[in-house]
Amino acid sequence: MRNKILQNTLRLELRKSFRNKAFLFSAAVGLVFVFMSAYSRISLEFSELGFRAFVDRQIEDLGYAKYPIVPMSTLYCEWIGGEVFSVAVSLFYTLLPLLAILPYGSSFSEEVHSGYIKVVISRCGRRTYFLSKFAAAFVSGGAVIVLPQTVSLLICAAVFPAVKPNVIYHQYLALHHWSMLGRLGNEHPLLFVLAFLGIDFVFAGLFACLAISAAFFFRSRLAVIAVPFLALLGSDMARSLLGHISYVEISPLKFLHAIPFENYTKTPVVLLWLLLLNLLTVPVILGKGCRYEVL
Amino acid sequence: MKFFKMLQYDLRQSFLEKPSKWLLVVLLSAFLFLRFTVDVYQYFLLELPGYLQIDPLSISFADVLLETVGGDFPYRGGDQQFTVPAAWLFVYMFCFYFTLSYARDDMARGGIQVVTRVRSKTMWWVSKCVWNALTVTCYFALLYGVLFALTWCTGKNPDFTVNARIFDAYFAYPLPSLERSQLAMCIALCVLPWLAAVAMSLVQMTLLLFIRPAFAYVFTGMWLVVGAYYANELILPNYAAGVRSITVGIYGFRPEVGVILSLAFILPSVFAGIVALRKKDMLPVQ
Repeated sequence: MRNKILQNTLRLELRKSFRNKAFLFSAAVGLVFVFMSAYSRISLEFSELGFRAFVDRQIEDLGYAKYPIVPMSTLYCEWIGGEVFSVAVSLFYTLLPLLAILPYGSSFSEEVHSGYIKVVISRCGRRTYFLSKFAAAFVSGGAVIVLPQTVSLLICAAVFPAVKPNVIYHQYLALHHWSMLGRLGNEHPLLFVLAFLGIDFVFAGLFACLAISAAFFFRSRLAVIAVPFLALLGSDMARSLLGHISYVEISPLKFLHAIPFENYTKTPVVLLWLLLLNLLTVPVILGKGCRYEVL
Repeated sequence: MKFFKMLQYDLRQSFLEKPSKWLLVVLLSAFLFLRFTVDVYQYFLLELPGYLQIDPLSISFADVLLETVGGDFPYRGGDQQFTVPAAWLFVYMFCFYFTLSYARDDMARGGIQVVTRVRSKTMWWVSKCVWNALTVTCYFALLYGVLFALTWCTGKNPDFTVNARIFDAYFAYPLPSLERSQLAMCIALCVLPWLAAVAMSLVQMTLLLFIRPAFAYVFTGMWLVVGAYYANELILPNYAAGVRSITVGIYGFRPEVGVILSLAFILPSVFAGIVALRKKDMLPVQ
């Protein structure tokens, strides 16, 4: 019986988290960034500076393509998680927490204000409600980020060759072996991309859950959206503080990009962030949620 | 008389209800100063006497302002990487968060009672606009005040003389050798960013009459990001980035255009709010 209630509540929450205007808005904004990025990279590919024109010039000059630098423009350095030049990438990764939070992050706060929570909790219980809320926010937050990234991967796969990176031309895919999953990225780039889609999904999901946690401490509906975003933007501001000690990326807005922007991504830093986000979400939502007094 | 009582009420509600938020501005300013110190130390690591001892570089208040809240250069094309200036964006987004929800919340709480008693929606709205401008003013006064105090207390020059070496290190661009008056630098680095923030904050508050707060906040954020990316005289956030001022000499953003553009956003926002509020039924908001 309890399992049935949990299943129904989870299904309801998931449906609500995906079928709302905010989800469509976030996905649309993400897709706009993806199209901007793809347009900029594809137009460069076919411009006078691009790889195609370079090969054409070589064929014209020498009669054949002597050294076609294929790794210059590949799928793995042109999709939104691989390229570092277009403004769309910067926008996508800076606004990533906001895009993840918007679909369902503020739902708990809204249900508290509307009084809907009283109706639901009295029927399904606190634990079921908060478990379903956590799962729905996590899945919708992750999906709204990974969906545009997948579209970017597919668009780029239609234009750029999925050539394995060559270490001789590492300047076109600045993924060094001392960066997180660097070896995987050089040996099995598709697996590397899929791994990063998974990492981004988990982090984006936790960002959305962070907004639900914030709702336990802030009454304002806007605060639950703005505070996690500002906190993550603040961590981005602090990223240069450790620069003189070691060039390690500490900002999640930067290390979620598969290819490091400036500093190297290190596994312990990512794991620490994962631990911190889990500590800020799971005990708060499930712990405080189970003691939450609706009246 | 009614107007001033209303304004007094707004200010009391906003300033005294949660005074801790002003402490956050102080902490933010202190953090920005620390970040500036660490960054400068990293750039001149080899020639400095000790850990975080940056005083021999002859740093001024203008350097602190340029590198903390002065923004960054726009996208310059080619293969140049564009990164959104996080500190600059944070400073403004934090400010706009302060002024975002009060007017709407008040409309849903006691606002309708006030409007009924004073029998003027216009007075209520103008009071909110003045409150908004005063909140932004206090925010920037506190921000600049703490940065100035830290500059002065740590023995740096409390003036607006820009250090070319630090500018070059920070922005990777040589500082043009120009005659810069102290007043012109003060206007470029302190007055214009404040005025642009007042204008953007008022636009955001007016948007709240039409769209949800979260979307208004996202709109303002996007406006700032577009300004960070495009160097265009008609995009207001360009004037909020002191480094792009004509006084600094790299980009030609003139203060007088900034003032006119800010006013061109402030006045229509106030009037649009008055007109929209007259037609708006305040009951559904409750």
